[in-house]
Amino acid sequence: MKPIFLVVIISVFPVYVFCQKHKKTKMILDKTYRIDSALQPYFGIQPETIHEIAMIDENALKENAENIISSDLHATKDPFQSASAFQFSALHFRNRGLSGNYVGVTVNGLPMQDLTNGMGLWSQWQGLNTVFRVDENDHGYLTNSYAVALVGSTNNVEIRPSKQKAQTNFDYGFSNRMYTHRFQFTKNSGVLKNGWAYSISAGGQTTTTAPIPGTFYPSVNCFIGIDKKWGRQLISLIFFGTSFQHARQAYTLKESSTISNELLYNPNWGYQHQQPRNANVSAQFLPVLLLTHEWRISNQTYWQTSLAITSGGKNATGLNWYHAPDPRPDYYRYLPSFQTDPDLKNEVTTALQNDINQRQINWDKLYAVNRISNETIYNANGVVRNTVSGKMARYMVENKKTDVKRFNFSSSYHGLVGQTILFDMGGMFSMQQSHYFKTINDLLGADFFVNWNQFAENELPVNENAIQFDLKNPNRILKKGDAFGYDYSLFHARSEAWMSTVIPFHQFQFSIASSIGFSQFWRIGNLKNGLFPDNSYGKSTSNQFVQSGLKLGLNYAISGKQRVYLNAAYLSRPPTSDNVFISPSTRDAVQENCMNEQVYASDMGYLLQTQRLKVHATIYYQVSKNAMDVLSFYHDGYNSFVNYAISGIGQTHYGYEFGMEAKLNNQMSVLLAATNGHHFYNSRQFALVTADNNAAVMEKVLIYAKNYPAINSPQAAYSFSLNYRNNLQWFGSLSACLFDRQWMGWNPIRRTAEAIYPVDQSTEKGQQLLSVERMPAIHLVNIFLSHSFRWSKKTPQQFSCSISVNNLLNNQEINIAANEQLRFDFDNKDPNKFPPKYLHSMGRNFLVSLHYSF
Amino acid sequence: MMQQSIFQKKIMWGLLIVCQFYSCEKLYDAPPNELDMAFSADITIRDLKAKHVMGKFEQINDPKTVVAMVVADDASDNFYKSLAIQDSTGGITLRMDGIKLAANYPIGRKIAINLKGLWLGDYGKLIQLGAGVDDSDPANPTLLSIPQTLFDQIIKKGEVITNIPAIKLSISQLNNNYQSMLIQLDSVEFVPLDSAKTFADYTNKLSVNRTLKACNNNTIVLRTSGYASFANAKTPVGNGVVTGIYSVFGSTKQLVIRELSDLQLNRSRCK
Repeated sequence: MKPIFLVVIISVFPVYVFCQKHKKTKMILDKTYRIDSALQPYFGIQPETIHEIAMIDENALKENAENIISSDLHATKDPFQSASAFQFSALHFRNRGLSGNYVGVTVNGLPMQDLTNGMGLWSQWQGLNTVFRVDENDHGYLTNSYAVALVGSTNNVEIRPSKQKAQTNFDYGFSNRMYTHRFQFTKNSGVLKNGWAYSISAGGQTTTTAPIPGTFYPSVNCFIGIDKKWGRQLISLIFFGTSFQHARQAYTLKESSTISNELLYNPNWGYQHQQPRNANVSAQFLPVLLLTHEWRISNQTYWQTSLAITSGGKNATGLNWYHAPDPRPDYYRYLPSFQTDPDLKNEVTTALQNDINQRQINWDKLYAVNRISNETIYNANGVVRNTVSGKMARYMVENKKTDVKRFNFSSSYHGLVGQTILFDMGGMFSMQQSHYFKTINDLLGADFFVNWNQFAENELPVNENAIQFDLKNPNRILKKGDAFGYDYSLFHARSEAWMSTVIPFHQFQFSIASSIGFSQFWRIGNLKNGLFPDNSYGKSTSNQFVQSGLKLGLNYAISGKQRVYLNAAYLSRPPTSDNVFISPSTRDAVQENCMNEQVYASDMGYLLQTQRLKVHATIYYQVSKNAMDVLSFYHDGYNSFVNYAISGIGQTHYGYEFGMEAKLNNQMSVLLAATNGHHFYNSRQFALVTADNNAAVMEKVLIYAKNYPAINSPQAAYSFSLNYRNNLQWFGSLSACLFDRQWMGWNPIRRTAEAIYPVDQSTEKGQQLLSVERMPAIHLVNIFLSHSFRWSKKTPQQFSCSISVNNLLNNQEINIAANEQLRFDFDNKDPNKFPPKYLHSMGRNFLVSLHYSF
Repeated sequence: MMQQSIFQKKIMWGLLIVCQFYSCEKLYDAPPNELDMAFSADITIRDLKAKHVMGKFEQINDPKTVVAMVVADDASDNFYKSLAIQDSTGGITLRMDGIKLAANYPIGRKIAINLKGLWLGDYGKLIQLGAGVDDSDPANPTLLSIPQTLFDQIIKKGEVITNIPAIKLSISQLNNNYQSMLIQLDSVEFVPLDSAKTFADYTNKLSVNRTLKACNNNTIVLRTSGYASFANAKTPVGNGVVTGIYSVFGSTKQLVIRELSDLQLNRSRCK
C-alpha cells in the first residue's frame, strides 16, 4: 500500500509547488459547476453570476449558484427520471424546483458536499464518468441506504474497482460544445483470483474551437483505485482528481447583443496584442483520497465504512482597477442607452460597432494606462520614511483563491431484522477548512500595487487607517503572486446519526427514517482590517445548530405490477456559512437571527411496471420557511459592495411528474415525460443592508416576496421521445422537448417599499417595477444515433460509435437563464437603467463519440 | 503480475507529469510601447476660441486638429469630468463624460483632438469644448460632455511630459486669453478672513471661494470643489507663489489649483 500513498502524495503537491510562480488560475468563482457529459444536450453554459463588478466577493456568487448534476451518471430505469436526466438537464432544469443543496451525493456511501454551501461535489470527478456511475438514485422521499437528511434526491456513486465491470475502454469524443476533443482511457481489472482488483482511468479534454467567444475548458483527470478482498472483508483505496479550467461566459445585456449582433456576445474577453484573452478564468483541482471498508456479515447484511481526505484549491481570476475607468466593455456608461442626445447615441453605437476593441476588453489600453502611471508611496511596507515610486498598477488581474481541506467519515450498517424488516443505520462526520485569499495574478506591465482598500478612501478624512487591508503591515508593496486584500478561513464541522427501516406487512410496506445531527462553523480572520479592526481578526464565535429529520412512507402493492405510495418528511436544516456571514472577507458579522430552515414535504405516487408499459405518476407538495441568504453586489454610488442579509425566506413547491415508457413492438418504444409545478415564495422576507466599507447597518427592509415565482429553472417541462433499438447494434432516438414557466432571477431590493416609493403601484411604471419577466417557452429537438460492432461473440471486443445532435432546428434564441441586476436606480426608479442580463445558449450542437472496449 | 504493476506505475507517473504540465500556466505577452504618433495641428486654440460668441454654441464642421497639453486633470477631484488643456496660444476646458480621467489623460499628456463634430460653448464665459448641446430646457441650453465611448476616436494620446512651465503673471494681467491655462502668481496670500480655513466644505460637498490678494491689494478668487481630496485641508497663512488654472465665472477672475503643492505660501505675509 505504501508506494501508492507515495505516488498519491507526490502527485498532489508538486502541482502547487512547481507552478506557484506564475499560476494564472487554480480555482473557481462559481460555487458549483456544470458537469459536461457525453450524452446530455449541451448548450455551452455553466452556472454564472450577475457580475456587477469583476471584483465580486464570494457571497455575491451565490445568487445564481446552481448545482447541475451529470445526468449520464444516472442509471435509472424510471421513465420520468431518465427523461429528466437526458432531456431536461439542458436548461438548468431542477427536479421539483429544488436547488442544488437539496440534492445529495454519496460516493461509496460517503456524503460528499461542500460544507460552505451544501452543494454536491460533482465537479471533483468531472470527466471520470466511466467510473463514477450512480447505482442508487433515490428520487423523492423513499428511504435511502446511505443518507437521510435530504428532501431532494440522493445519489450514491459506487466507484470501488471490484464493483466495476472487468474491461478496458478507450473513449474519444469530438464536439462543438464545451470541448472539441475528449479522450478517456479506463482499465478495470475486475476481481482477480487473488482477491485484488484495480481500476485506472485517465483522460482529458481541450477546446480548440470555442462555442462561445473567449471561452475554453481544458481539463485532465485521473483515477487510481485498488481493492483487496479477503474473506468477507473488502478494503479499497482510491485516489481521484480532476484539474480543470473554465474561461467563462458572462451574462449579457440585450443591448450589447444587439449592438454586436451576436447573441453569444461575451464581454469577458478581449485582444491583447492580437491574441484573445479572457479575464475571468476559473480553475479547480480538488483531489480526493478515499478509503472504504466493507464487511459483509452475511448475504443480506453488511457494514460499510468510508473515510476521505480532500485537499486542493479553487481559484478565479478577474480584473481589478484602482483610480482608473471601469475596464469592462459592457459597463452601462459606455453603452448607447446611457446617452440622452440622439446624435450622441448614434455615434456611440457606431463607435462600438466599428471597433471590436471597444466591445471587448481592451488589454493593450490597460497596459498603456499602467505604463504612464506614476505614484509615490510613503512609509511603504510600514517602514517610516521608506518611499517607493514607480508604476503603480491601475489595472491588474487578481486571483481569488480558496484552499480547501476536507475530511469525511461515514459508517453504516445495512441489514435485516428477522426475515423481512430492512434496517439501516449509520453516522457521518465531516470537517472542512476553506481558506480564502486573493493574490496578484498579473500587474499588466506595472511595477507594483499597494495593499489598500480603495473602497475605504471615503473614510480617510476621519480614519487615516481605513484603507489598510492589513493594519499589521500597512502600505505593503505588492508584486506578482503576493497575497493581498482579505485573508480568512471558515471552519466547518458537521456530524449526523441516522437510521431507517422498511417494514413489510402483507401488501403494505412502512418505512421510517430519522436523523439527528449537529453542525457548527466559525471564521478565523488572519488580517486586521483598517475599517473593522475589532472584528476582522481572530476567531469568531461559533455558530452552532442542531439538525433533525423524520420521514415516513407507506407503500401499497396493488398487484405485482402496480403500487401506490405516500411519503411525508419533516426536516430542520441548519443554514450554511455562506448564508450566515454577511461579509466574511471584511469582518465576522453574521445575520441577526440565525436559525434552521424548516421543510415539510410530501409526495404521493402510482407506479406501473409491465413488460410493455411503465408508468410513474407523482404529485408533490413541499413548504419551507426561515431560510436565509446573503446577496452582495458592487454599488458605484456607494463606491462599495453592498450586502443584503436576507432571512425568513419561505418557498412552496407543488406539482406533478409523469413518466411513461411504452413498447410499440420489439424495436420501437415511446418515452413520455411531463412535469408542471408551481414553485413560489410564500412569505415576506427581511433584509439587513450593510456595506463592506462601513460597519453601520444602513437599512432594515421588508421584501415583499410573497407569491413571487421561484427562479431560473423551468417549472414546466415536457418531452416526447421515439426510440428504436435493433439487436443491441443500432439505437436511435428522436426527442422533442418543451420548457416553460421560467422566470428570471428577480432583485429582492426592488420589491421593497423603499425602492417603490413614491411610484404608484397601479401605474404602468409601478407594474413594471414589480412584475418579473417570464422567459419565453423553449422548444428543442434532439437526436441520438449509435451503432455497435462486435467481431465475434467469443471475444468481448466491442466498438461503438454514436452521434448526438441537440437543438437540431438550430433555435438561436435560447436564454438559459437571466437575472435582474441587483443594482437599482433609487434616484429615478427607472427599471431600465440597470436592465436584466441574459445567458444565451448555443444553437445546433453535436457530439460524435467513439468507444472501444475489450 | 509484477510486470503489470511496474507498467501501471509508469502510466501513473506519466499521467501525473501530464497533469502538472497542464496546471502550469504560460505568461502572457506584454504589448510594446505605443508608438509616438505624428501630431500636427492645423488650428490653434486661440483661433478655435475665436470662433465662439459668448452665450452661443457653435459646431465645428471642418476636420481640424488641435494639439494641446493636459494641464489639469481630475486626480485630486478638484476638476470633475473635465480637463484643462493648452497650447502655446491659449487654453480651453474639455468636457469629458467620465471619471478617473487622469489614468488616461494625466497632467503633461500631449493630446490631439479631432474637432469635427464637436461643439464650442461657454459656462459663465469660460469657453468649453463638448460633444453636443442639451436644449431640453430651451431657456438654458448647456454643452454636452464627450461620451466615454468616443474618447479614443476623438482624442489621440501622445507622450507624457513632466514639469510643465506655468506662465508667470500678475493678477492685473489676467484676461480671457489666459482662460484654462496654467498660470503662476507670485507674492500672493489668502486674505485674513480666508486664512487657515478649509478650502471647501468637504462634509456637505460644497464648493467654496477663498480670496487671494497680492501685496498691491489686487484680489482673485481661489475656488475649490467640496469633492477635492484636499477640501478639508486648511488654507496656508503665508505668502508666496500660487500655480493654477485660470478660470472665470462671468466677470469674476478665478484660480483653481490641481493639488496642494500648487500653493507654495511659506514666506511671511505682506506688510
